[in-house]
Amino acid sequence: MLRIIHYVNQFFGQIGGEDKAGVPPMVIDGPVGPGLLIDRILKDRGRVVATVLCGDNYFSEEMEAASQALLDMIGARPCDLFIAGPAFNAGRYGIACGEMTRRVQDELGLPAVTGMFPENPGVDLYRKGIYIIETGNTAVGMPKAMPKMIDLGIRLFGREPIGGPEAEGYLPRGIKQNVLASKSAAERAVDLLLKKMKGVPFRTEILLPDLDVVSPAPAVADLKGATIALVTEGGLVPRENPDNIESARASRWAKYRVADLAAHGAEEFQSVHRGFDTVFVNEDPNRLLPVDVMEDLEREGVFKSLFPDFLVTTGVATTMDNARRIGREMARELALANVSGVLLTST
Amino acid sequence: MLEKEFERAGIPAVLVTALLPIARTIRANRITQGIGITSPLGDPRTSRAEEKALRRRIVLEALDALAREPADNKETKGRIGG
Repeated sequence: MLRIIHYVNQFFGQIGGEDKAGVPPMVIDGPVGPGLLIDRILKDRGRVVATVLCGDNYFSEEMEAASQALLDMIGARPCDLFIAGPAFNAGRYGIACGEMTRRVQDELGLPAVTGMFPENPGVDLYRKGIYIIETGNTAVGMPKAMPKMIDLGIRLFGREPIGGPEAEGYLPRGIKQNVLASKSAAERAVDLLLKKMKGVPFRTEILLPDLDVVSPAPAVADLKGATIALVTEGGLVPRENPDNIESARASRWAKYRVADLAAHGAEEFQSVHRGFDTVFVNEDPNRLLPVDVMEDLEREGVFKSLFPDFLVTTGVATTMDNARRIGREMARELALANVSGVLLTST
Repeated sequence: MLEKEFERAGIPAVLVTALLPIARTIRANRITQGIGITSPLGDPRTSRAEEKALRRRIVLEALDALAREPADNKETKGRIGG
């Protein structure tokens, strides 16, 4: 009977939502939330003996201490397999799942698996060293993802050979393996080229990294003569949310007057962002968008002028395509207004 | 992601966030560390005056990052907490 320890965040651990994202590491006997599904899938082949849990903010802010505490909890219990998440497209949760999977595998020597949506920032950080099963972008994908994670985990435990990413459903780790091909490399290369020229779908054998490295824009030459714009992905909008900025998976952005925010603050503005606990920001929006300090610095002549509008969208589970489009649209607006530099705040 | 589009358009942009691993993963050019995830530019545990002084320090660091080429930009460090 396989003994599994399962890692979840405060949400899947049923402690609470963003208001509980600060809870420190803890261990619970038996399965919680998605752990119940693990038990159902395994039937008499195994069970979740313990669930380790940590709030997403706590983990991100205290990564070393949190992961060490969790590692101690896991190491103190008999365990055959470690499963983290899946985290879907939740960024902080993905990083926590990746870090825990890596440390449990490398430091405790246990087989370990996690699951994430390919765009989760945890994928890029951890894919090289661990097995990350590809999932959908929301928890709707749980019933599909969990059996794959368990299957791979059982085979890692049994030290069975693991096939390539496509066959096994994990995200490519950038590892090259020798296989015997029926055609020579030259023939395969020409085949690929012909397909590309015909516009037929083709797949390269060597995945090139898609780093999207942007060369840095030149620095602001003279801060004293500069116009600085404030932008946030923290979802700060007038209370009635007149432009219907989404709370998550944003497709829209808007601009509002800095002067209005400075004059009315929390009375008129609130964050609709659903990816973090907005209590502190809704108490004092300066904690997200520093208009008080920026107005002081403008008056003191540190820079010439504060752009009169601030630009806002919501950055939580936003698709890459929408994020890039929103960024391009905002950039166009700011370039037209001859803005010299942008201070972008993100939660 | 937004900061990359600003930079691509030639406008220097500094990302102020407490989530450094994510900022690094997306390869932002200019990063200043914020205070906490739920409060990047404030620390609710301190007095309003202390909080504003801290915010001012982070904003000045961010402005400094805009005024320098990223090659000589080190990630500037705010105080971690909250």
